[in-house]
Amino acid sequence: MENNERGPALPATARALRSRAETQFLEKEAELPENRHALTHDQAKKLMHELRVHQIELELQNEELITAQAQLQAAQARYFDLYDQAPVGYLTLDANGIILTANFTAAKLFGAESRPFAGEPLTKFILPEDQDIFYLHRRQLEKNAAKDCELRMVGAAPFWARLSSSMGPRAEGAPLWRITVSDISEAKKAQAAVKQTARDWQKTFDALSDVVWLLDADSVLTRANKATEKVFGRPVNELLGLHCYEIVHGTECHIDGCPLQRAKISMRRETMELKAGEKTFEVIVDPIAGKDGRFSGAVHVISDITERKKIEAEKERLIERLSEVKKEMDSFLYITTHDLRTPLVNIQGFSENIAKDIRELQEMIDPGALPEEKRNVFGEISGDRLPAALKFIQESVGRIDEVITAMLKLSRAGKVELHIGTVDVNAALKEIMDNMRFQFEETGAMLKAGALPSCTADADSVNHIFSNLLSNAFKYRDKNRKLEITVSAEIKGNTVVYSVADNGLGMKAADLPKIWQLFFCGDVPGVKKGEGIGLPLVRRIVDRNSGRIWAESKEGEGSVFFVELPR
Amino acid sequence: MEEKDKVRILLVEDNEGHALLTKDLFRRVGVTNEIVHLKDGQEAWDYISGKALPVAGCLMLLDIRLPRLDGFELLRRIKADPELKVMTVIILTSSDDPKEMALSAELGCAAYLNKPLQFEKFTQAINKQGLAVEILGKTGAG
Repeated sequence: MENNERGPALPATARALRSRAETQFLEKEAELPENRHALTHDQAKKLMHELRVHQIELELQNEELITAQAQLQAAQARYFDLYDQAPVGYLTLDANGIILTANFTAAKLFGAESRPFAGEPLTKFILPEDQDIFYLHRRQLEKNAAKDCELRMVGAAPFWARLSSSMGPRAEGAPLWRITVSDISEAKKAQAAVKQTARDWQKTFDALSDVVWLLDADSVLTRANKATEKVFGRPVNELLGLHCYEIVHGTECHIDGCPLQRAKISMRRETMELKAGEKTFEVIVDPIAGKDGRFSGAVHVISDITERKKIEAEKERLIERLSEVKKEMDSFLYITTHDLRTPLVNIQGFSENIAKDIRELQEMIDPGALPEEKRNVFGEISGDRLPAALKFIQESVGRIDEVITAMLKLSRAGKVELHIGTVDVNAALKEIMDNMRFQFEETGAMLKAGALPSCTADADSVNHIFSNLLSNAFKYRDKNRKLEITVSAEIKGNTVVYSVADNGLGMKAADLPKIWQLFFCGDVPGVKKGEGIGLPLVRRIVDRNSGRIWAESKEGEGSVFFVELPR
Repeated sequence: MEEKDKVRILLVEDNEGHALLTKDLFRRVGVTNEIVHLKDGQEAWDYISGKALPVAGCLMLLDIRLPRLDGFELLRRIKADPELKVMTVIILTSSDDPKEMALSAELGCAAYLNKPLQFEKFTQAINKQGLAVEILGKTGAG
C-alpha cells in the first residue's frame, strides 16, 4: 500500500491477494521435508490439528479484517465529505505556492469544479493589484508570524477572500502549506457601504456653512466640521479636546446665559445670539441623552446670521414704511373724498335750485307777451337748453358722488376694527339667507349648502363676503333657468376653502381678472351697472382677514368663487 | 306766535355755498324763523356762551369740519354746559362716516343729517324733538 496525501490506498483486489498467497505457498512448500510420506500417524494428526486451528484463526482474522475495512471506508467517506463540503475553501500548496490539492469548495470558488487545477500557482487566482498582499502574507508565514490576509481573487467571479495559512511538516520532503479561503465579499460590501455612508456624512458635515460641533458631557469638543476653521481661523485638530467656551469666548468657564448649560438642564434645544464685531451669530445647542436618559453631550451649531439679521431689519423697516405709506394713502383717500364732497354739495344743491328757479321763471313769464322773435328763443333756452345742461350737470354730480362714496367705503374697510374669532359660517349663511329669502322665493332660486366648517375671522367680514357673493350670484343669474347656488368647503391644512358656485351667466375669460379692479363693471345686458366696488371691497376684506379669494368662470355656465380663510 | 318767541335757527357752517343752500331751502318751504349764520365753531361758541340766550328756543344746525373749533368739540362743550345742554343740536355734514355718526350720537346730537339738506329728513328730525309746531306750525310748510 502506498501513502499519499489523500490517505492509504485501497487494499489490492482479491485476485492480487490470491496470486500473492500462491507465491508464498510455493516458497513455504520448498521449506517442507523432502519426504512428506515419512510422517508418522501422530505427526500427521498433529499437523492436521495445527492446520485446522490455523485455518480457524485465519478465518477469524479475515472476518475482523473485513469489518475493519468497512469501518475504514465509512471513515474515509466521512472525511472526504467533511473535507470537500467544508464551508471554506481548503488548499494545500507546496512551499512555492503551487496547488497540490484543493477541496470542492475551493474548486467552486475558483470556478474550477470541472477541471483539475492542482499544479497551478495560487497567485494565478489573485488580482494583479493584490499580489503584493499575498507576497507579504507568504513572507510573514515564513517568519512564523502569519496572520490572515484579505485580498481580491478571481474565480467564477471576482470575490473578496480572507486567507489563513499554516505551514506544517509533511511525512517526507518540503513542508506543506495549508490555506483556507473564505469568501468575504458580502462583508466587504457591507463594510464599503458603511465607509461610503461615513464619507457622505463627513462630506455633508464639512459642506455645511454653519459651524457644527459635537461636545461631550464635559463640554469638550470631540468633532468639528470644516466651517470651524473658516470661522475660528484654526485647524480642527488644534481645537479638538478644548472646551467650547475656550474656543468661542476665550474664557475659563461657561459664560452667563450659556445655551449649553441651559440645554443640560432643560434637555431641550436652547439658543443664543452672539455679537462679534460686525457679525451676528446664532448658537443652537441640542442636548444628547445617554442610555440612562441623562445629558451625555450636545450638538453645538454656530450660524452666521448677519445677513439674515440685516434682511430682517430691512424687512421690518419696509413693513413700517409700508404701513406708514398705507396710513398716508388711507388718510389721503379719506381727506380728498371728504374735501370733494364739500364742493359737490354746492353743485348738487345749486343746480337743483337753478332747476326750480327756471320752472318759477317759466311760470312767471308768459311767452305770448314776448315779441315773436324772442318767443322761440325763450322757449328753446328755458325749455330745452337749460334743462339739458342741468341734466348733464346732475348726472355727472351723481356719478362723482358714487365714486366718492365707493372710495370712502373702501377706505373705511381698511380702517374698521376686526374682531377675530371662530365664525360659524353655517349660522352666517342662514342669517344672510333670511335677508334674501324674498328674492329667492320670488324667483324660485335655490341654495344648497352642507355642513360647513367654521373659520377664524371677523364675523362681520364673513357676513359681508358671503352676502356680496350671494347677491352677485343673484344679480348675474341666467333668467332662462332657475338659479342654483352651491356653497361647499374643503379643509386644507390650516385653512378652509369655501366655494360659492352658481349656474348663472358666467363671465368672459377676458373679464375674469378685471372683476377685482376698482370701478370695473361687466357689461351684462339686462343687469344694472353697479358701483364697481363690490368685489374689490370683498377682496380687501378677505385680505384683512389673512385670506385669499379667487374665481373661476365659464360664460353661459356659471361662476365659482373661492374664499380661503384661516381655520 | 310773536317773532321773539319763535325758535331761532343757529346755522354753524363755514362754507358760504352750503349756508346759502340751507337758508334757501328754508326760504323756499316758507320757514321764516330767524336764521343766524355762524362761520365756525368758535364764533358759534362765543355767540351762545357770551349772552343770556333763550337756549331752549334755539335749534343748532352744526357742521363737523369747521375751522378753529370743530363741530364735535362745540357739541361736547354744549352738552357739558348745564344751561346750554338743553339746546337741540342737529349735525348737518357731507360725511356719512359711521364713526362720525356714532361719535355724534354719543356726544348727544338730536339727529345726524347729510348735506344737501332734505326738508323731509329735517322735518322728521324736529318732529322727534317736538319742535315742529314751533318752527313749522304757523307756516304750515312741509
